[in-house]
Amino acid sequence: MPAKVLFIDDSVSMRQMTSLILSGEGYEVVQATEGREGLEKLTSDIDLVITDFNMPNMNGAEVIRAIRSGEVNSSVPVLMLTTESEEEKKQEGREAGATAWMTKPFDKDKLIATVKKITDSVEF
Amino acid sequence: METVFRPFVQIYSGSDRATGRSQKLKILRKSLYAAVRIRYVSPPRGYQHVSGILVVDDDVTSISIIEETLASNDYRVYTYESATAAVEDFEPGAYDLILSDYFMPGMNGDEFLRRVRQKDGDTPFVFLTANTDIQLAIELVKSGADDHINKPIVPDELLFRIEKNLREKQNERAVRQAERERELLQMEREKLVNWRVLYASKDIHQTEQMINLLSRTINQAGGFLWVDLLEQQIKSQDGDTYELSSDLVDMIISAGRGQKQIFDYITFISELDTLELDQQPIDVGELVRELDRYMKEVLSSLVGRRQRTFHSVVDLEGLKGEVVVDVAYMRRVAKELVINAVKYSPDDSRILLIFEPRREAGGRYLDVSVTNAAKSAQARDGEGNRVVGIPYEYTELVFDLFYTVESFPISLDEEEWSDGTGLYVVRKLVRRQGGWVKAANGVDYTGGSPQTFVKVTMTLPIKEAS
Repeated sequence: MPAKVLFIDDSVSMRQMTSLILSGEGYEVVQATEGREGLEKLTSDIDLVITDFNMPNMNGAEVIRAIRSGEVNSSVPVLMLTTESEEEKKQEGREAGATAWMTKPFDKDKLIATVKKITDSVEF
Repeated sequence: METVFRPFVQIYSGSDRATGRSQKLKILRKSLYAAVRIRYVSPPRGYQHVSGILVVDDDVTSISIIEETLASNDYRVYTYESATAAVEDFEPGAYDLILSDYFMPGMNGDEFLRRVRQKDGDTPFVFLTANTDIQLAIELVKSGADDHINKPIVPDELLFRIEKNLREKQNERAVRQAERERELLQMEREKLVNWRVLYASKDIHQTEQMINLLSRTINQAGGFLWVDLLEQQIKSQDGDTYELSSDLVDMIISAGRGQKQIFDYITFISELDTLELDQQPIDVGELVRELDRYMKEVLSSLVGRRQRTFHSVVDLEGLKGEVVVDVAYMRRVAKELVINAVKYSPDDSRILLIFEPRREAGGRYLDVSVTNAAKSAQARDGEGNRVVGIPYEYTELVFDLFYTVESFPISLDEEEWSDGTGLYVVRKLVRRQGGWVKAANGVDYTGGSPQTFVKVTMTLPIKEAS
């Protein structure tokens, strides 16, 4: 059974491209346009959450905090996406309980490698 | 000498023949003083500061001596025969020195001192005490008096002591003033240091923000993942033609469009100095009418929280001449100024548009200014401390570096040049047309409560009509 990834990002281009890349690697991708929708789509069978930091309404750290304090799949690994210069946001994400973060812009290989590393290290 | 008398009526009903006359005279004199209360000596010629001395004594003989001595030495003298009346009339700061007897009917000197000190802690207070009352004099000085003068009064001593007390008080005030000024200067220096640090760090900060913004915008368009995807699909194709999935083509186009937009904007900013402008001479009145109309139109079109009340003042009385501008760009500049004022003002506040000519040594100018109430609570210095406003002498310097005090706090759909670059673009465009833009801020005290405001003024040179 393929690992299931929940991808939360307000950018449609980002969502589409990431989904295309990850599904090419055999992952099943669930997309959400913002934090609240992401939390609704977080089911117990999600193996990894990828969330952007800069989003309207809820930022990435808030999404992670909501996941960690929620009742569904609260220990799911979360990969946070930030831009290069947002060092303090990485810190905020770490403190909120992010498993890892990745700096944007990233390329296909880096995305695949990072996702693999996280999903492989977790027992399903 | 100018003396003011009030009419008085004194009825003497004493019957002691032996003392009647002198008693009567004394009472008459007392009443004269009591009724006149304030008698003052006009300042001498070649006016300099004349010290006003309040003299309170129930003994008219003492008052006469004091008054005569002081008046002939260019003091202005105010006499009272009772402490009660003196307290009643007392205004803090009205005298340079208070000279008071201690033993008085009705209200004693210590009570008088206490009542005076309640209102005025600064004016030197000197007691007249009998030379046997050393202990009393000490007590009085302890309770807030500055000095005491022995009775009977010796004119030279009186003058000497009064002068000494006045001089001491003057020195004390000078020292206090110097101290206050030093403190203010220190505060100012610290504040300026903070501002300088803030401005220096802002320069770097602004650049970082700009880079961050570009990076975010590019990422918003999916970064460059489309290149990877394109390569991947191309690799799997054979022959001369490539076959791409329509999904990928759509993605690439939308990502490319997003990136084109940001790069176009970067290009626009970098070309501001060489941008082609269609500068034409236009009657200054006509330009003002057009900008006034257009700015009002922009303000009227805003809805919801962006709505502002606005008022425009057009003062072009008798003004002739023309300005040489690209009207289309001037309209865009005017819009940016208005939108900027909306962005940085509280909801429901008022925006003031002023169009006025100005004459300076160098020629005539048109000032177009937009004033808005400031969202002052948002401004913070480099250490994150809240600051209100920017010192006047620094506004131009600050404006050279940046205008937004917060990192891209809000962006409105209506603004053309967004993300903190708007005023930069405006400044460049106005400079290209021979004018300049200045920002200033301050506090408006004309309303109910003091209100900080921000005023951005665009100035254009006016030429004689060709």
